[in-house]
Amino acid sequence: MSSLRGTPGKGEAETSRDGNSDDVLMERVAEGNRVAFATLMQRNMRRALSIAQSVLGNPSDADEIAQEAFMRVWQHAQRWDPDQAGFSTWFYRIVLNLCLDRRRKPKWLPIEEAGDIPDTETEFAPEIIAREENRRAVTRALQELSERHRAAIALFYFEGLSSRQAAEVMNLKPGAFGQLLLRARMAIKSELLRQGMIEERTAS
Amino acid sequence: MTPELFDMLLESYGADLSRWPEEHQSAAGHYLRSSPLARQAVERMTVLDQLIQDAAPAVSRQREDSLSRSVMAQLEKMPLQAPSWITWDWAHGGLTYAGLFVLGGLGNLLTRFLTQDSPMDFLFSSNLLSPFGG
Repeated sequence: MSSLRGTPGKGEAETSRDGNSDDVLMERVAEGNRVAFATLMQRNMRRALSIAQSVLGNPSDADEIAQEAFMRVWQHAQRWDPDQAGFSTWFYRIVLNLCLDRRRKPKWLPIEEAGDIPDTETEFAPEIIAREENRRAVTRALQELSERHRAAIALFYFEGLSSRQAAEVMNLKPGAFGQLLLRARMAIKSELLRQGMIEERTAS
Repeated sequence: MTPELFDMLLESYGADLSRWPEEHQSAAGHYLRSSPLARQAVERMTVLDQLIQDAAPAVSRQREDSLSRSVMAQLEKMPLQAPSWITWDWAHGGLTYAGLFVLGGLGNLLTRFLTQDSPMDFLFSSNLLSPFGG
């Protein structure tokens, strides 16, 4: 995989070198500024893909959702109210709602199709293979969760949102979000225990 | 902070106390410093945290760029955003007014039909004057 992106500015609105935050760009998008829209999309495409793929488990569905989400940003930019929610919260909600609105059963790719283990002959090969096996084990555990549980894991762990912001995105009270996260983690943990990926001592 | 609450928060939010809800962070920090068992539990929980974080979907720059180009291409096919007076739904607005006009006409005909024993002048002027002795 070439040039995988990290997660700079996790969970926070980004600000470019010229000092324009996502919220400022969004105001320009609402005026029909396509350059601002392109910049906003460049900054947030990874987020959209990551959330959608985490919830739906399928890269091609995630691609569709991400494109649809940005089209909605463009079409409904005038509805965005900065006093109600920052751009990132509003945008996460759009992506998540699109994912949850897909009433059909999520088409999770069979784990065997999720990508080959890299052909490695380096001195780190065993480490890479072990890491890949771990990733697949957790992916299997995620497949067993509901979409809402996967969304909670994705927002809090993958996107690095605070529990308060993640709760806001999911329209939950912070306590309810904590419960959702707890159940999701417990389910992952028990699945990893069953698969022998973690030891009882780790789980206790 | 009780050990039970600490354990529950640890199970929910993971080993990084800075990511716990703010209202619990201070008490959790005190408890952690005073309890070797809590420190061991946090240490163990980092394993699960790492496993979960490693499962985040990998998104290549190439994929991002390709999708961004696709969205911009779709945008090019869309009409430019127009002022609201242009985008007002003239078709539906016009139909509403036409409907009201037709209803008014029907009301007029109905009135004529119901008052045919005392027919009204087309312009109503004599009807308005005659009852008052005009």
